[in-house]
Order: sequence, then structure tokens, then C-alpha cells
Amino acid sequence: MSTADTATILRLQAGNLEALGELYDRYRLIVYHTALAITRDPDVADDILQEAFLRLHTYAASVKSELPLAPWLYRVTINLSYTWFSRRRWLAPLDEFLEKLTGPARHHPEPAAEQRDAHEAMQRAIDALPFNQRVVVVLHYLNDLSLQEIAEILKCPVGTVKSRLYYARETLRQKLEGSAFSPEVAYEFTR
Amino acid sequence: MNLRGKSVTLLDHAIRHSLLRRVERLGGGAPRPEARRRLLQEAAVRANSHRWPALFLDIYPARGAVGFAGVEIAFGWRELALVHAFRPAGVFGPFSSQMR
Repeated sequence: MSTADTATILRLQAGNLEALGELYDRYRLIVYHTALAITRDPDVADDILQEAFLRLHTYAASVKSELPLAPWLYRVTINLSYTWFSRRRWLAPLDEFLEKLTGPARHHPEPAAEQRDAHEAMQRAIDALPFNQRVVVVLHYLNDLSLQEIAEILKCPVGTVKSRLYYARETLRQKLEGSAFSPEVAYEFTR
Repeated sequence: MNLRGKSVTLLDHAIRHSLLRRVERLGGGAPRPEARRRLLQEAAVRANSHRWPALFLDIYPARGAVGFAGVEIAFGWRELALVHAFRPAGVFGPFSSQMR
């Protein structure tokens, strides 16, 4: 962590709100992207972003200024996303019913052609992963975190992270094998 | 070449690409511009929440104003609430007098 972070956290602990703004500018994208990749909802990601930094402000005294801030923020983001996910699981049937009544997806209607896209198939497959596996996939692939770093964030053994990632990849590979995700389609990603 | 090894590499690329693509497509890849201002406002309110006037500042939004017809005076809800609370009779003064 840079010394700038340490100094900023110390200022935040002293009650300086500008320090909160500076940390927000520095880390907003990693928090927002992580929340967005997990929840798939920009409004929810915005709320999680705000709540994560409000918690940083509220619990600033307990944040260790000498340690990197990013893992702390990741952990809070994952916890908030999990809370949303748990509530969402119960509300999902109602949402599906309302969506049937109101027509296509309200937030992000996409053309039917894009639904057939290989990316869409991959995204649907990622969405279908259990929450714990999806979190590991997002942290590893989107945020470029190592298994060790993910284990520290999730406060679990590295072996657990490795196993979640393994099962997630196996599930994705099986789901996409021989269907929308043929090797020819996949080849474009290697360029 | 190890086909399994190759497919794993392609899969890795595909997963990463799909996640990046989603993030860029949804929400334009960045939070709303007003999010920073909202955050700092909310943090300021929470920081002052132990002081009781903050309760009024939080409950009564400043933008709701009450005007008096024919008189060029407009009080904000916030000012009215504070004036009301600081009256010698207290918050419940007017109500108790009406009850009599």
C-alpha cells in the first residue's frame, strides 16, 4: 500500500471527510465493478458502493492504516453483495412474475440476436454459479487477484478458494462445451 | 499440444472477457457522477447524528419551502422546524394549546 493511503486513512480516522472522498476516488471502481459483476444491477452496485464507503467512514477507527485497504473494501463489498443476494433469492419469484406482467427486462433490454452471443452464454453460465463460486470467479478474473489474496479477503483457506475456482471452471467448461462456446468462437479471445 | 490445457486457457480468457464486457455494458463501467456528493453528504449527516439538531436537518429536506400568498417571504421546512423546536413552549406547545 502506498504511504498516501496510510496518511489518508489516518486523516479519515481523525474525522476528515475529504479523506473519505479521496479514498472513494481511489477505490470506487474496484468496489463498483466487483458489485456490478456479482449483482448484475447498476442500481444495486451504486447502493453497495455507497454503503461500503459509509462503512469505511463509520468503522474507520478499526481499519489498520498500515495494511492495504483494498482487501478490506473487497470483503465489505462481498458481504454487502451476499446480503443483497440472500434477499434477492426470496424476492426472485415475485420479480419473475412482475417481469412477465411488464414484458422484457426493464433495466437493460437487449436485442434477441445478442442473446445468442457466446458472451451471453458465458454470462448466463457465470450467473448460474453458486454465490461462493461466483465471488471467487469475479475476484480472480475481473480483479486479477491471486488465490492467496482471495483467501485473505474471504478469510478462508487457499485450498477452499482453489476448489471453488476449480468447480466453477469445470461447471462453465461443461456448460459451454459443444454449444455456443466452440473452440473457434473462443479463439477470438486469445488475440 | 495438450487439448485440455488449451481449453482451460481459452476458458480463462473467455471468463475474463465476459466479465469485463458485462461491467462495461452495465452502468457504463463507472458509478453515477453524483454518487460522490451523495456519499459525502450522508457521511456528514451520520457524523453529526449524535447532535440532536441533525435529526431535524435529516428529517426536513431544505428544498421543500412554504410560501405565503401576497407576502414575499418563504420559509424552508428546515428553518420552520428549527424555529418551531426552539420556541419557549417547546415542540408540543401548539398542539397542547389546541387541545384545551
